[in-house]
Amino acid sequence: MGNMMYIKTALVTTAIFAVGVLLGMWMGEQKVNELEQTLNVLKGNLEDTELQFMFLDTMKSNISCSYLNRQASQLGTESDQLGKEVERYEISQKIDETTFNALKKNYNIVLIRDWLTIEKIKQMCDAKYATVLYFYSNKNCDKCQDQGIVLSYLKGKLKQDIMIFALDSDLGVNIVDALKVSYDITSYPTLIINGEVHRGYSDLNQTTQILCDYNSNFSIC
Amino acid sequence: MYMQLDVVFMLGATYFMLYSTVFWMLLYFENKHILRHDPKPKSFPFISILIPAHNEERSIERAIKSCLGLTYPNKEVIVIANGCTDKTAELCKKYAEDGQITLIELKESGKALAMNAGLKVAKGELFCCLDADSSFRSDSLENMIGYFEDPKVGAVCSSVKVLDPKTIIQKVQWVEYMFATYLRKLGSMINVLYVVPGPGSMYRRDVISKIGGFNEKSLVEDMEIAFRLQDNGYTIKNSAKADVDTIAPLSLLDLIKQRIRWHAGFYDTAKQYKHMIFNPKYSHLGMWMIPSAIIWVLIVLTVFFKILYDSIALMAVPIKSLFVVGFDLQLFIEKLIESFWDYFRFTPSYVIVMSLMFTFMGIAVIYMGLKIAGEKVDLRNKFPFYAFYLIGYSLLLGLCWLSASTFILFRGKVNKWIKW
Repeated sequence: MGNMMYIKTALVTTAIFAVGVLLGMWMGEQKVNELEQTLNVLKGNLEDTELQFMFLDTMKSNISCSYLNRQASQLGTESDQLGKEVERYEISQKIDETTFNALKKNYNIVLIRDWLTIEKIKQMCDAKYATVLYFYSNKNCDKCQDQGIVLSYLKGKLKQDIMIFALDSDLGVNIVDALKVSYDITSYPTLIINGEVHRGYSDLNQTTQILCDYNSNFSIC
Repeated sequence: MYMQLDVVFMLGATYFMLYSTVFWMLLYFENKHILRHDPKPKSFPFISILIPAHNEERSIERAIKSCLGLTYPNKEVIVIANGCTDKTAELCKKYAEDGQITLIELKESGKALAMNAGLKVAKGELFCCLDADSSFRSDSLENMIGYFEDPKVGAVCSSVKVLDPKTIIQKVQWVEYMFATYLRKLGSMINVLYVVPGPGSMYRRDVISKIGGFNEKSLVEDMEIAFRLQDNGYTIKNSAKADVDTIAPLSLLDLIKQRIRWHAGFYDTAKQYKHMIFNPKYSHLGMWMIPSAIIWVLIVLTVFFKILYDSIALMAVPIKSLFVVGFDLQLFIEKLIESFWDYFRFTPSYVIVMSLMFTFMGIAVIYMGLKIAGEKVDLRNKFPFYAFYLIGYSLLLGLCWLSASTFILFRGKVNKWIKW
């Protein structure tokens, strides 16, 4: 056997390697597309609910409040799931940064519109579910991971009774910055629970207390 | 895509592993028809079979009986009981009294020492080494001697198989030995064998004497002699049909001990013969085999550490949740599933594609190994063997290499532990 064997091996190896890497890159792209699609579905749902809300507002009809609450809760669940999804893609750092940041900005905007809609429905229908706006930072926040764990624990316990909107403060999204200014948020984590600002890390007991003060009928109280 | 250092390393390592796998596969396909074909012997020279035995009362008789049952006519059997504190020597005595074997008793123990002592009384032009925990099949020798028609051949090794595998560890090794058979036979085609395994290898006596016999200081005298033979211009061949059965380590601890000795021995020997590495004088052995063996070790170690690191990282959030909200099984499991699912999902797709590719290639290699060893696939009985091998072997290998590396670093302290 001469050195031909090594050259032959190199040719075959390079071909297999190239197929593997290209196939892998193609699959990676499919993953981003999937996330984009999920985001689009959520946007669609949100626009749908907003339209229903406008209709309700115009007609001043109270009959549909239970229906609207159901819609709000569905919206909350969906945005929560999508939030988790986005967050986990972020941790993984396996998606191209520019694509990801564009997606994430988009998601944060959707989330805030979602929150505003739900707050309105809550007021109009006098609903007693909790809304939590959670500002976090990936840059200088030691306690954000713990805060995240506390919130997912509460979500697991309260299910439909709590809606959590997690906002990434580092992205430079105009509306997030506007909220930060109007609520005077400079440190992380910060929670806005039913419109009230709570700065710094709230551990499980503190957060439970705040929620129970708001509605003592919650299962955790 | 993030082109970080770890990605570059991983792509490089993948390319190398792929290259190495493809290399052997191509060699297999080119030589497929002659892999189970040994040269016909023109003469039947006298062969001395040396059995070094150190406290082997449980297996020595099987080894002796297998030698006596060989169909090869011109032979003698010499048992060298070295440093025995059990009944090994006693069991051998009755065979010695019948004149069936020659028994040498040594106070000191050591395999190389025993082999050298046996060589002094051996009468054969060729000699075999048979570990006392191994046994020949009746026609093993006939298949090997034909290779010695070529005067450049210094040693011929057999096809080692795990005898009657019972434990999971032994079953994994049964498959591993098929992989070893595959590499050994293909390596023999391009003269790159760097181990002459203890179970049933045959040597040319005058050559071994000329190059100074077995190295009594080496941890792995069977590897050291292989390097020395080739350093002196001799080649090593393999017969895939010369079957020798051996008892493989029963437990994980035994296996790790064995591998520490092998791997640490490899480090030592490679260091001792470093002038052969990347030396064109030693052809494929120097330019391809030894360097690639070293690179494989580095990759196996790195991958092992990566898996270890990832496993710890995966557990971080679930465990942290226990401290943040107290014990909540539901949350813990939820976080755990999330971690594992994410790990799988966010592993870059090309890694998944490559892993699948390697798995298929691994299966193909085992199949080729079975073909070379003349074994049937026998899925009905051997399915667990293959499954254990595919699932756990790379981790096992990593663990063994890690232990060996640790050993190299602290060898003075653990030296006693592996000597048994």
